[in-house]
Amino acid sequence: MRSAAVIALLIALISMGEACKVPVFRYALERWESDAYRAVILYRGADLKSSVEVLAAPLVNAPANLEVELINVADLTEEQKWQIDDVDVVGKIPQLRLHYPHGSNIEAPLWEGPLDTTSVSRVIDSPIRTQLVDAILKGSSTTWILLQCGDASRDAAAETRLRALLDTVTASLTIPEGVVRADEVTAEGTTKDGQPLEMDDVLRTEIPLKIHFPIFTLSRETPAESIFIKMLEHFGGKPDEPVAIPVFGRGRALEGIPASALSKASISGACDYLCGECSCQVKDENPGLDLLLAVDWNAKLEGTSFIVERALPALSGFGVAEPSASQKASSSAESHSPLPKVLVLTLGGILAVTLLGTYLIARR
Amino acid sequence: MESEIPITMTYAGQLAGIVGASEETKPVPQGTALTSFLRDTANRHGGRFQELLFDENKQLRRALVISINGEHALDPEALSLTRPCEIFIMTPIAGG
Repeated sequence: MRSAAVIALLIALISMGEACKVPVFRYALERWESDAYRAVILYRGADLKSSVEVLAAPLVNAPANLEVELINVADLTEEQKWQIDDVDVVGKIPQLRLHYPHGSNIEAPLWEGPLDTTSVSRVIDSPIRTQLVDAILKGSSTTWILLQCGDASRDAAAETRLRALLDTVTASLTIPEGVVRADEVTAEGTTKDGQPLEMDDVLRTEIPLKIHFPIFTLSRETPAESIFIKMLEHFGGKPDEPVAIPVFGRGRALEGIPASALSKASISGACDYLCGECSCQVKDENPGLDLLLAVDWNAKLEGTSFIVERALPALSGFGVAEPSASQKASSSAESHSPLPKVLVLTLGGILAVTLLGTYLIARR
Repeated sequence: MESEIPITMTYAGQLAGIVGASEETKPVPQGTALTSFLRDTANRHGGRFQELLFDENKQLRRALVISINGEHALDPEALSLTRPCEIFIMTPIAGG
């Protein structure tokens, strides 16, 4: 119990360190693994097993963030059946149920239907997902999906508005200062002019680092995208209103911004977060939900990646006596923190060492 | 007398769905802490809105994007509202 508290405190203190300079969108691409969706295939009868396996093979073999589970409902105990919704509807035709990743806490399937070649292919991939991945691997900061409502004039107005706002944001945003390309790092882990650096500030791939926001419009009536559209519906918005969904990193999407909320504040706010310093490197403490994409990201990035190794320096103390990144958003909101962060960190470090010492003594 | 300033909230996905609008404006006393303002707003909208902004310890959730006049607020708990502004919030996408 005490050790858990000490460890938690240490983690908290470490996480209070200064933001890394790599923008969020790029940090996510290079460092955050995608969360896996779950495809649950239900069939009834052992005689169907081999044909189900053949149909499911593309799902199993796809280089996607997808786990596949085959369940013969005839083999289930009564207790196991209780754990699966509507298990009795599974008859002669195998059912495919697609679920969001566990971390989303969304239990209901985002899509369910018969297992066949069409549903399998639409689960794994779709034209717009291919385009998104291509744009991200070419260096787009964030791709924006404009999910249309079907009213041509509203859809066109939303696209025009989104494009104008993104153009304005593109002109004003800059990449954070201090991002280091890997070819600028020496074997000793310093810059070429001998300055020390944090490896979290170093890019891991050669993909161009730029501020660029392409838009991909998506009609809700596109058959090939039908399952992807279902996947997007949980990102917010109403069917009768266009919604703009930012996608970055390895297909991580933020909440959709409905057309009625498209403003300089909202688009700038989202883009400023995505292009700003990665203040929290822990994926789960950042917003968003991964999309299901058939991409082996590590393989795609490997061809452009740098490997930079460096010996860790000897520990000389605890507590990071560095000032925090300057607080932004100060024009209308002012900081009222009573203590400078450096002081908080120092006091925290002393407290952590004290607690750790107490714990070690108590164990003896 | 304490002067009041108008604060406009802009909501994305889930919050917009709960509020039934993507924008609302409220006057607050100048100098109100941002967290306090958000807590009042959450109390006004109740249940699910509160859960999306605050954790079980009533602390502002970390996985929120909060921006003020288009600038991402890195440390929202250290901010107070001193001028009219537009606050934009994106919440984590989650069920529950």
